[in-house]
Amino acid sequence: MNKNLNTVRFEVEDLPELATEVALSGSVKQQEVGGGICLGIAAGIAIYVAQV
Amino acid sequence: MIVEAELRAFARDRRRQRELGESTNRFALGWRHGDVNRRFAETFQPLDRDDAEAVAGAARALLADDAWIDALIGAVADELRRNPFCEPPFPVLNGDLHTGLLVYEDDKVAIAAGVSRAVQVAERKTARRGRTSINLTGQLNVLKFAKAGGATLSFWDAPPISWDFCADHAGACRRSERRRIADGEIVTVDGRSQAYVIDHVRSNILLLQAVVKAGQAPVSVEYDSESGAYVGCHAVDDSDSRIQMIATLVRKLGHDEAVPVLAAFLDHPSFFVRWHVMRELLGVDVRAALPHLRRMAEEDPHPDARQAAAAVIGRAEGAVTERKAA
Repeated sequence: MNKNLNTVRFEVEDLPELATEVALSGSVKQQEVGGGICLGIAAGIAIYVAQV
Repeated sequence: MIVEAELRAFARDRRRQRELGESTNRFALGWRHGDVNRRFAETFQPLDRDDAEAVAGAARALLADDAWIDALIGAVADELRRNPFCEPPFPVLNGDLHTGLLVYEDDKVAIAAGVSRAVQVAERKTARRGRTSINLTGQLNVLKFAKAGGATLSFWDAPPISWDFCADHAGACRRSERRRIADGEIVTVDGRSQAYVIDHVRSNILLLQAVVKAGQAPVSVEYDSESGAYVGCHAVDDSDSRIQMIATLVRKLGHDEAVPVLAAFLDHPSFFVRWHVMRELLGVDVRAALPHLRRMAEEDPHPDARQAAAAVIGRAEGAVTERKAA
């Protein structure tokens, strides 16, 4: 673990987001019927990281 | 049908469970080395991994001759006849409207076979839903409607999604065509600039789908179905999202090696991964991040990343100077 108290760090939440915000893979919002069937699986990891 | 008493007996019988595992493994191995899978692999292996059109062309030829689907169903049915508790060794796709199996996947293409259920499509269409969105998947899709179910599809066009995609220049989505699909028809939808919607269906759709990963766009884009206006976007490649999540994890763990681990991703092809990693790096060590931040503000190929980096430089330089003086 990094114990150096002299290291300067920013709070990540205070840093700007991109003007084009990009959501995580697989997080499509409400969608019309069709448009493509998702063949990927990423939700499990999203849940894991949210709990850290 | 699995009889309840038989299931109870199976659950208590370790030997049968072990045999089931062994027979499932044998089936999976047989399929992997079988004619169908070998044909898929031999078709896609020689192709350039960036040539989306070549991969889509090969997928169209494979879907045109769908004898392999009979072989797949026959093989699974034979195995289930031998052992009703067998689980076919294919990842299951199970959504609100569509159920299927992912039958082949490599670094260029994923091929699935499944059924879109008419009743659920009708329920979705008739329910009060509020605003909905049209989704451009960011990937070329080859769809074979083996049984089209009397479906009518609408097709939508939007500006092509490029590697320097910006929300400000996303433009609008508009319907370009609406038509009935015939049984056996093969439709290519370039999800980098097109989308389709099932407007109407009479019965279940049996759909064979090849999703071309080669040449895919970095993001999938959503437009409002009524106004056609841009709604938002998300990562196409789940590995991009995994890198973002792991970068956050590395920063939260505060490990000594976090800086070189994170810095290694600052040249990632996806602009949103580069900026996400930069934010995490600034959350670990501003002094170490500063040279990378300056470079990003001047040289990053994406205008949003350059703009975000430039907005933080003054604050970062000030914080480092202040710490030196203290």
